[in-house]
Amino acid sequence: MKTTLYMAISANGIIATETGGEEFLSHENWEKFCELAKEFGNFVVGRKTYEAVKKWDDGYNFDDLVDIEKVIISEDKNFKLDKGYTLANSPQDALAKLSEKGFEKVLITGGANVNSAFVKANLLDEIILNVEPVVVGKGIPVFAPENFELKLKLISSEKSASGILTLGYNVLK
Amino acid sequence: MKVILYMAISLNGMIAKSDDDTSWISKEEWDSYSLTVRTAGNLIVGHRTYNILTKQPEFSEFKDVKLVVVAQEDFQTLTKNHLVAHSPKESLKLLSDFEVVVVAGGGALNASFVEENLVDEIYLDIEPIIFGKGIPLFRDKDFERKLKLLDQKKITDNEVQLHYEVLK
Repeated sequence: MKTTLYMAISANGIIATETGGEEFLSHENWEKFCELAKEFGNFVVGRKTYEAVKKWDDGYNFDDLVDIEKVIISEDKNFKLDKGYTLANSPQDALAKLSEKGFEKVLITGGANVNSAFVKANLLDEIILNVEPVVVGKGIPVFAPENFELKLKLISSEKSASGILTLGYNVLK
Repeated sequence: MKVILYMAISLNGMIAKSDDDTSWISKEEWDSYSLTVRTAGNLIVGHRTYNILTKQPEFSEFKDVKLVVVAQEDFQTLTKNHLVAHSPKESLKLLSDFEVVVVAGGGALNASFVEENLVDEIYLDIEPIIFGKGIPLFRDKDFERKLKLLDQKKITDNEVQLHYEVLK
């Protein structure tokens, strides 16, 4: 099983404001996410990200990604999900559920706690970050503060017309 | 006067580990940073960064650099040539003869400079590493500033330098 983390971040590594706002991120990042989700046929997010996206405006909805396996990680085994979503209680459980369905590649896309949980479980193979041309003083970091260190190898860097830089890395193990 | 913020960061935006460790920053990155500072002829840092920087053997490269330490309290520098300022604005006044001024850490000082709209350009050298806990590029200040990506280049096969203009 190969795992890829995709996130949009500010140039200083912030994924949302302290209240969860993502207004500083542009539409291009959502398009890139949808493109990747279609390519992978699946994605995994945390419970908080699932709940945050539910509140977003029209056009930014996980429900619209039909025929894509959507796995939500929550430690609460009784957490009630809408139809079309699968509950997992850990990174390992999420990967096992997707593996059972025949997937060989898994897309992981936040939030901070889920990202760190995958790193701590040593289950991350590739990282793609869309670096938005903005700096945000306070906010939620791309990885929740935990004791870990990842060494990376830079694979690609690509600039879009709007100044978003897409950086691709392999995680060295 | 153009004010540049120049920092090496981990991919997740940290400038040092929690214990101030910056040994993960490469020699090539240091050389790029050092050249920028020596070309400008000056450097503004916070007191904690000053204490770390002046202990490094490479610091001898900065013997002709006019160094200003921003410190709140009665801070003592190692030599009289190293000046002390009590605010970002005061540090810039001390360097008003320079065309380009370089600001380089730590997290609290960086945040103060950006929050007070004193930074014109940002250089970020991204090291191929992520660590979960550390000292972030910006600390303790609530702001949002749009940037314009002016340039990106590789310092080495594994390190990217991002060069931004701060939009005002």
